[in-house]
Amino acid sequence: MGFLCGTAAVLVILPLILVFAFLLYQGGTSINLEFFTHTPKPVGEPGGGMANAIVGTLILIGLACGLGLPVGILGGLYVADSQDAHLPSAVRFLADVLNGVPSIVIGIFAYTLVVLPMKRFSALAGGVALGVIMIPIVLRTTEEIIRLVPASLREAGLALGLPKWKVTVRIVLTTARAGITTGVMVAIARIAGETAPLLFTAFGNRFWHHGLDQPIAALAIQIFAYAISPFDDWHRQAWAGALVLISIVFLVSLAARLATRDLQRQMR
Amino acid sequence: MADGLQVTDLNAWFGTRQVLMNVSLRVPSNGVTALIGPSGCGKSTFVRCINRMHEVVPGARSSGQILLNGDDLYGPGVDPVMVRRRIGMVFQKPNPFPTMSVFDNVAAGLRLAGVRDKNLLHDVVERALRQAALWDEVKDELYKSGSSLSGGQQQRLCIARAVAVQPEVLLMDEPCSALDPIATARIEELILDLKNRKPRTTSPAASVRRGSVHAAALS
Repeated sequence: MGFLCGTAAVLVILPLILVFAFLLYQGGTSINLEFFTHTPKPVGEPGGGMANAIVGTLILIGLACGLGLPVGILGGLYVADSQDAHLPSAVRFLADVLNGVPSIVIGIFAYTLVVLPMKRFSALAGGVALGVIMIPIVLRTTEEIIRLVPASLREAGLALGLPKWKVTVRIVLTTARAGITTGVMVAIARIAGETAPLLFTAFGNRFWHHGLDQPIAALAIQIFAYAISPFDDWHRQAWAGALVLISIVFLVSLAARLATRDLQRQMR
Repeated sequence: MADGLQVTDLNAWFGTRQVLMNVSLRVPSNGVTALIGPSGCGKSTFVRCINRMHEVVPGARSSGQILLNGDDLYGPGVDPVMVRRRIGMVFQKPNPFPTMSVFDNVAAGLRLAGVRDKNLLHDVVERALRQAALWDEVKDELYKSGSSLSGGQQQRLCIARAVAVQPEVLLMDEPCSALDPIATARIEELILDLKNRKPRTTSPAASVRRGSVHAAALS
């Protein structure tokens, strides 16, 4: 039994290790300083990098957080706290449905909502699409973590003569922040690699962007464009881009773990 | 006006189940009052009605009149938050805030009410911890997590947290039921101490169930 569990545990992390090793093998040689500091070169010219796409991905993540975190966290608080008989379970159910909606459909939603009225592809539209994907993930984790905060802490705060909102913000949210951070990181990791919803919102850009109302490059789009191209040089760059993308997700998760490690130790 | 707590015809319900029926009681000020009764007879509910914590539970309600030094605690326009500032509470199980240090736990009531003065906070925390007979044990570890203390220390920390905001009444809902006999003895000593040391007009009320011997010693 122990052997089976151990094997299963290894099988869980094996794909990640294989993917990472293969990316390192295929893309590692194309990673150099130029890759991080230059924009793509025209076809046929060697060199060039994905600096604009790396920055673009970070900007898109930031925009998505600007939409997804407030709505997700406040919504999660509401669902966990509400005394209403029907609305919380309705919100919970719809959040789960939204979580299952294919990301390309959410891209179409953002296209209709932002791109059509603005009459152009933009970083904002991409941020909206990714933010909508984040909302249900952040909402559900926040809700579950808030439910784990013992009622006795809430009562202790109320009994000190603190208003309910202060107890929620200063005691409940503070106690739950390590768990909520983890949920946020899971959501960021999920959206960092999303490609489909960006195709007709952020659109991609071979140059530096000129404002958030303009098309912007993203690693995922760049990888897609380069991978389906017929040029060997671009294929290598696509591998390198994938490696960088995975590294960004890895570093974000690691940073969040380190930042919340002390808090989690206190919770025990 | 009568000093202390005056409870008249208090009824309390959880949903449709009535747990208190026409309870009337006068609690004199500057004293310790213990309530004794079998498990489930409504001691906790009674105590939680006094600082309006009963109504926090979904579906719970109450009726009747409770006066504190003449003020109707259930009067129209009375904010339960203000009632709880005047009437502190210590719960059955120690519940320090786990993400806060010992110092921050005791300072929480004042700090979250907007007090920023560092010297004042420090004075208040020291006085409260001394009142709770915890100062000597934690004075070198004020910035350690509150949940790293032992169970008895945690409960005294909760007492310090409650007395730091200088309530007029301190309610204690079986504060020793989760503690060993030695920690229990310390806290019972402390309850008597609080009565003698409080500078202002106070009427601590304690709800205790540790058998009649302990309760008799308190009343």
